[in-house]
Amino acid sequence: MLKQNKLKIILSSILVLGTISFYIFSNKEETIHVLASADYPVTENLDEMAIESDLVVMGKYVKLDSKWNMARNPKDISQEDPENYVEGHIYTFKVDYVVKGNIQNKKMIEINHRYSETIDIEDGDGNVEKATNLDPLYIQPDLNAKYVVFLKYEPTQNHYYKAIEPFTVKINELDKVELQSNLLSSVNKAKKNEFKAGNKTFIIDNEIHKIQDNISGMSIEELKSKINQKK
Amino acid sequence: MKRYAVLKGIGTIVFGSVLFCNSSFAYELEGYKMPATSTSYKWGSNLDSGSSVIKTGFIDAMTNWENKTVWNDFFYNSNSLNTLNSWYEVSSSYYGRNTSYGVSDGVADYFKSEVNSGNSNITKINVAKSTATHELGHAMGIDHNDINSIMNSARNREVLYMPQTDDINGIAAIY
Repeated sequence: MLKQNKLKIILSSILVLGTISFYIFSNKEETIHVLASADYPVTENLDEMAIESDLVVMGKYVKLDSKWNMARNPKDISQEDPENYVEGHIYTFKVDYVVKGNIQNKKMIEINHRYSETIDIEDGDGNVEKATNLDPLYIQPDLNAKYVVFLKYEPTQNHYYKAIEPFTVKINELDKVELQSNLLSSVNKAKKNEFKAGNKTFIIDNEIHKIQDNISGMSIEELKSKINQKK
Repeated sequence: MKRYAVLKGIGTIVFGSVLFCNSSFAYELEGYKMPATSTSYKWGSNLDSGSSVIKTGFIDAMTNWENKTVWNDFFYNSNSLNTLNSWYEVSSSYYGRNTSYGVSDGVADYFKSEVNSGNSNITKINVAKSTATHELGHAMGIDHNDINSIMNSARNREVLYMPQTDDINGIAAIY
């Protein structure tokens, strides 16, 4: 009788411990860490910004016009890519002055800013999570500020996009320029995107290149003159 | 004469050390590596069949890493988790991207390296090769820098498309 009770206690203990272990194991917090890197043209040099640009204009961002998928089907670029999503934000920009290039008599142009991309991440259990990775270079344009922007023309979409990184310069109230870029050593912008799905935490770390600012502090006239020398 | 020889010897050692330090520590590391210096890959859906300048770029890039560094081998396996592919991103100055997964323990589980076929410069073979070599550099564990290196984002991609001394040292430091 005593032996039977002992056996029951042992079996019950094993069952309880097993259940607890299973519960702990299945609810264990897990972190899945992804590192994203990209190759894009970068410069610390105003001359190179000007040389790389089809168009350099001074003016103001007016509004966010639309959002679209910059990833296109390679066989027919009028269609979206069914496998990739790269979100572009198209802004309307009012041109006050053309420093380089030609926009005929247009007063408004459209500029595309790369905003985010979707990354497929396997969670280790056979599920694929679609994670949004905000572009570490994206800076939301200030609709109240004056800018000089360095652009390339995209004929298939009839709009402009950044010629190189950096590509925007803000003009302050003293008519001095301030270079805009998340790559500047002085900018301490979070480049990590994190989200949770169930008991799993997904971290996407964006690896970026640091650059020096050799432009901020110039007067707008000095900036225009330097760009004109590179036309 | 003897004193001159000693001074010359010391000078050579000091100069050599300076050169060694400069070339050994200029690279930047990602903080992870691949499990071994021999790894498989498969082609992604856009490069799986036929030939293209991007596929050639990747093939040349793999050969260059194998020949110039301690990296041993990239070999094809249709079941590999590592993928080499292209995507078409319009209105973008992006040349390429690499995503390495499961890097928290210092060893990547797998990677995906891609070249942007929507970049108008990518039709130039040296540019495609330079981009593919750069992306594979990330996959193996080396990071961006600002010196004469395939990992420098400000490089001239038409001229610089092979791993440089610093890149070779970087791979040697990891593996």
